[in-house]
Amino acid sequence: MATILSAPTTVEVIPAGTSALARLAASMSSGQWASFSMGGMGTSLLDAGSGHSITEFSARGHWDPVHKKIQYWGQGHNAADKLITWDDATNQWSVNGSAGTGTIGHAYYHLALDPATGDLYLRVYNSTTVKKKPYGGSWTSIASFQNIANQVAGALEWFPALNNGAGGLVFCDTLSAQTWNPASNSWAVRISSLLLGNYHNWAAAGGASLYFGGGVGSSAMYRMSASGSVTSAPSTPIEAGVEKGIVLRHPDGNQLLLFSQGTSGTIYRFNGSSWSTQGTHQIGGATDLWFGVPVFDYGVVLFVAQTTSTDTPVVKVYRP
Amino acid sequence: MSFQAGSGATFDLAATLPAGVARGGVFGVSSSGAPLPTGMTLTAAGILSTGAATVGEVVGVIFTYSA
Repeated sequence: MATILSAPTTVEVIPAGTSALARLAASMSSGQWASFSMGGMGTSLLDAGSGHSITEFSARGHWDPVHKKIQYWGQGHNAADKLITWDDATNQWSVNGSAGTGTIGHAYYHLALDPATGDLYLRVYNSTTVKKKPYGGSWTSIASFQNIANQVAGALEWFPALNNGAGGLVFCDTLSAQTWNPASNSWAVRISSLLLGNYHNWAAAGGASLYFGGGVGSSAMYRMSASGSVTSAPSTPIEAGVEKGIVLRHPDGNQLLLFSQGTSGTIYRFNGSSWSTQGTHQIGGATDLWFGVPVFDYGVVLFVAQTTSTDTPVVKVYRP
Repeated sequence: MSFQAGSGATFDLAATLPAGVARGGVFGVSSSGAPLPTGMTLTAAGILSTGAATVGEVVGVIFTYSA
């Protein structure tokens, strides 16, 4: 019988009503990275079967400020899909089942969350179908968007300023950006003459704008206003999208952060007018095997990363 | 790792085992390191429970796994 030993570990019992992540975030200074232990995080949580992981071709999960949870959906290559949820109060991950999207697809930028309700929306791979999961409810479908480019992997994001502040979805891919109004369950094409990368595009809200762009071979960036008008914005400093660099909303809610892919790489920040460098990240995951989650309540970004589809994940927290 | 006092929170150490390590073994706490906080428990299957532990911090706990 062989015995393995862990590294010496600090075990802390904190006062009731104080979450472990809140406590860690409060102890961190700007620019700092820290490891974080999350209950239930491990290979079985991320396992998609057949040697694959739901972190493959991922980008970001979402913080639900109403229920203080993290929501992440992903799918392994020709393998299972899974919604997983982390509860801040108990520091525990749990599995919330399949979205029923079929056997092909990955996370990309296809999951969106309405921060006012915790409702989830999911664009189905290579389709015009968008599913909705009301908080605590089951997956259904909303109206389909228009099939303009219909690329396999675009970007779906919730834009709080849209629809006179009621919020709504934005979907973008190679050629178009479209918006969805929940009140009428209808989509509107805002622009159909884009020239983004063919797939792996990104989208992120920031301040009163929604930014999107990138994709394979592209550093183009566009800004959508609350009225839905689209204008050019400064290009990202590197190609952005699932394979090259992940753009996330800064936890201050106003700026953007761009993390280059790989176990280590450069961090870039967009302040609403220009991009600048912010040092080197310590995410520790291989390209296409990590996702980030801005946790606005605590001012940090949390990352879940693997170096292969079957290895033990690590969790890092970054305070910009 | 952090636990809220009185939360009933648990942590599954089995989820932290490296790939390639056979599952189904026995977890424990090494006497060469610090003991768990008073009131906290660890099952042989690797479930660490807050139990009745009170607020505090223990540095240097070494977990063991035998399979």
